[in-house]
Amino acid sequence: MNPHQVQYDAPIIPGWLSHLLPLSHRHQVVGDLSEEYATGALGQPGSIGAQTRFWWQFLRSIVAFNFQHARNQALGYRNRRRQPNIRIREQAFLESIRMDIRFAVRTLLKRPGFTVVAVLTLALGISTNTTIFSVVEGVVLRPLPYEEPEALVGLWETPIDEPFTRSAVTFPNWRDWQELNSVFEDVALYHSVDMTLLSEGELPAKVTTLICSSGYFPLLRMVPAAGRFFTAEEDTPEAERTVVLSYAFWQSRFDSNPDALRQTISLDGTDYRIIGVTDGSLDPTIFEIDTVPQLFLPIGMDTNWHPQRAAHVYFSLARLLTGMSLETAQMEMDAIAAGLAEQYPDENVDMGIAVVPFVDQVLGDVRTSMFLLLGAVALVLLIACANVANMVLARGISRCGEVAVRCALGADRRRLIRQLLTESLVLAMAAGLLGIIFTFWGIDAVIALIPDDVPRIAEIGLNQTVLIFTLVLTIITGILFGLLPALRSSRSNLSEMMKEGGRTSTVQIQHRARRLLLVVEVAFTMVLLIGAGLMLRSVSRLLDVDPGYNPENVLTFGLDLPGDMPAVERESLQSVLLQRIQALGGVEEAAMTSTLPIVRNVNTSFRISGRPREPGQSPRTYYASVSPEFFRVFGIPIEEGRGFDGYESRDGIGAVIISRTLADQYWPDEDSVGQQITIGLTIDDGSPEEYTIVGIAGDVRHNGRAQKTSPTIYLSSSQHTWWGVLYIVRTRVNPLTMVDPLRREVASLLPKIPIYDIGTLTEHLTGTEAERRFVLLALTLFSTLSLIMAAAGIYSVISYAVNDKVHEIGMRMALGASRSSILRMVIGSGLGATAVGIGIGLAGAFGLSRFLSSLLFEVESTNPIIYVVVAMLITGTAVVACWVPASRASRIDPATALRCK
Amino acid sequence: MSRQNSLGEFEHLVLLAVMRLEPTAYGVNIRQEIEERTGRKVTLGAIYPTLDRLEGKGYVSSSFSKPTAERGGRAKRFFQLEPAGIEAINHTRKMLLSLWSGFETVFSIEGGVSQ
Repeated sequence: MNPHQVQYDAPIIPGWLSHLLPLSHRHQVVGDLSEEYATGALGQPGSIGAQTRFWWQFLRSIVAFNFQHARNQALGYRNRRRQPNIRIREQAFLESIRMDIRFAVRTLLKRPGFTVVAVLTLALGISTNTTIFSVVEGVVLRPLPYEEPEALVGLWETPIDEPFTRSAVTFPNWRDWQELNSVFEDVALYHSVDMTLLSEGELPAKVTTLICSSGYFPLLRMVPAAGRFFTAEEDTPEAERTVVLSYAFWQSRFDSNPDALRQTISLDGTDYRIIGVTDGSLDPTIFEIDTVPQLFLPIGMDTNWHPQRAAHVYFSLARLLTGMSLETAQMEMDAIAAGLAEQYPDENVDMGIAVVPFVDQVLGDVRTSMFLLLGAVALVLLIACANVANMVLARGISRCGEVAVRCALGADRRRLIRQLLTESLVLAMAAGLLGIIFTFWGIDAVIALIPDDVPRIAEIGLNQTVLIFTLVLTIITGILFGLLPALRSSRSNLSEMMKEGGRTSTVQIQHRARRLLLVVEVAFTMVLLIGAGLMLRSVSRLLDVDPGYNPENVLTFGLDLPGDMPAVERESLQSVLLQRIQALGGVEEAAMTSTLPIVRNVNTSFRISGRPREPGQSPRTYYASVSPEFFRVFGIPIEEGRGFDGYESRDGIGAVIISRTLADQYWPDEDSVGQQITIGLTIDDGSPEEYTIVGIAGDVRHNGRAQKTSPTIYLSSSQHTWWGVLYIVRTRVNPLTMVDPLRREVASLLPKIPIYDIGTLTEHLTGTEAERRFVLLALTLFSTLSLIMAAAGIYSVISYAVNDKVHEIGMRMALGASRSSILRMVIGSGLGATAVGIGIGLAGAFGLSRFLSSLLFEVESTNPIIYVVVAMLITGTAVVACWVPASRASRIDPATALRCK
Repeated sequence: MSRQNSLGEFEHLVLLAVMRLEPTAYGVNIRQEIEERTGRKVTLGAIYPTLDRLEGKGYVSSSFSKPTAERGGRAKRFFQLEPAGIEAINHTRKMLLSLWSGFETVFSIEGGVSQ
């Protein structure tokens, strides 16, 4: 063979594997094998046969090396080239480990009942942990996919007197921030809209579009897959109409054809030229709705452009300069905010700027729940380990004969411990494998049940990190439940063992250990049950709260008319559609509104006319523009004054209805009907308008039942309309059956305009409670599991105790003890350990339940009723678990008992 | 004779193989030689420690060749017989022959163990 033609193409042996051969021979053996492979001695190079033989020879060499070296050492041989002794011992060590594993497997297979139960118990514990961890990993732990995500921050406007309220940003403010700051690389502006895409031969479709400033893509370090992104010119309305496609959109609509550049697409009736495509790996998720935008438009193209300084509709993103700290940036922005407040007192008064790490924005406050569940599920695993440790200890008692013989034959204690520990690890590994299978189903179940507003759900899965976690957890589990029994079992007094009654003292030691484990199990179960109980109470109290409206059988959907449609035409279309919807069979009543309390909150500042503006106070309120039927459809009562009648403009004044909270707060002693109020909202001409209050409506809880009622101002739709409107429809039948008829009705009037955001009010409301329900579900599941395991543990411990005490019980009965007193004795002994566990559990729950407090609703974390109820539940369970062995004990025939030793 | 000079069975085979293959005896061809001539499948992992022992006793010595691409850039280690090794082989052979003497007609061996 021409040596110049030979290449190295043998299979590569990973470093750690080749380290199983000692250094001095490693290269020779690997080199020889490679040569044999390359010269075809093992078969055709590249064939499966040759590769198999290669590996087989390698592995056999390792084995042979072990034996040879062990032999070398045994013969007292010392190589002239000084093999380190450690290396030889290491090979022998590996060999003995292998023997341990083989023995452990054989032993476990001999007792299939024990093995199956133990493996199942542990697999349940491991799989629940892995499932929850995979959620935590995908949602919380994994860093955001952008370069240096810690430097990304979101900027918000916040009212100074309500520092935790975050308000969207206005366009002119953003421009000023961009110019004035010195702490950010750049500040970008964006918001998402749904636009109508018209394609040839297809129905109009709604696409989520991100409208962003030119700095947006560079901030996220995104690179176009084709074409280019926006330039600074496109931040102004005068530029050409351009659009950037998302990678997924480009793939599905244009088959990734580079000719897509230079083509145009039609959005909301206007053509935009395609200039670029994003790289799919970094496509941003719009964090509040967890969707990836399909298209991107430059901010200059925003047909819904709000140039007013008071229109808070945008989101802002910035990147800190290298080395800049968050605190410094915050201080600078505070100064800028103060400057702007002075400059523009009408709009910017008392508005500050909040600099928030982007990660916090994306994750929101799901972290609390996530880590809570992680902690809870760790308790479940610990209980499972305690149970299996109990089982192993019980087996240990029956194995002490075997252990004694081994000791007599010369096994030292360390070796014994190692061998027992190997058994536990083998058990744990089997459980780990089974656990991974359970986790597959578990992850599917979690993804189905998890609340929709949890971010990054798509990233939850069984990936490398999760698998490594499982492996580590399995090993820790094996050591956890194996160590205690291994230590105990090996500490046997040899001569005592061999004697007939010699089991007694060891049995006592084991027994105490098992009771201790029982106490631990009961304590943890207490904690979990109390947690579940608190959540149960919270959720039930939550559901009792009146949200202020009636969500039953109400369907909502949104409709956006083109922005360039004249206002008159727009209003007429919207009302005609409303009438047609009202005429549909199955519809009880329908109304229009500009926004829905509970879905999207828009707020505005306001001032009471005739009252001086108090310094440091900039009252804000939610608002919506509604049609007269709104209050009926929603089920909101008009408590004073009157509702709208659709003819508000006839008097030439602006009419508003305010909520009860607002009325009570600002006119506590007088009638607010007839008073004047100024709203900061600028719609058309930029000047605030004065309105007269014509009625007071009942309070509504925005964002779900858990929120306190917020002040709301209702404008009349006859005086204010927008291009976008929401229709709310109260149906006589199941609202979901009305979706198609409504769609058809809209299409018959407006064929090119699709409807979107279709949902029922019940869905929206349940969505706000979803997190609590999920935590409740999880905690209930975990605590039920734990209760069952604890009950099983109690049963087994008491059962074994009875078995051991047969002689003693027989003695007692022979001496005159009654059945019932034996019953009481056994149950009492079981309850003793349980009581200690309950005590510890109560204390633990007391301390730990404050972690739950952010999720609790109108329940204190130390609510004594729940604690007592749970304690009683566990006591009852313990009694039931002790019953069977206790009744068995009471039915012992004294004569038989006394006869057997 | 001193017990030190007597060879274990496998050591004997390896040493004989080295003798046959000198001066280019190395892991691969020692293995092949033993396998062809005795039908016994041995692994490299068994050969090298044995060679170590033999070298320790001074029966063989080793030297390194240049690395080759075939071996992934690793060098070959060649083994040569030392006088002490020849002496040991001889000694073992004499021992065996002396015990075998008289049985030549009973057991006839022709070219290998294939029969």
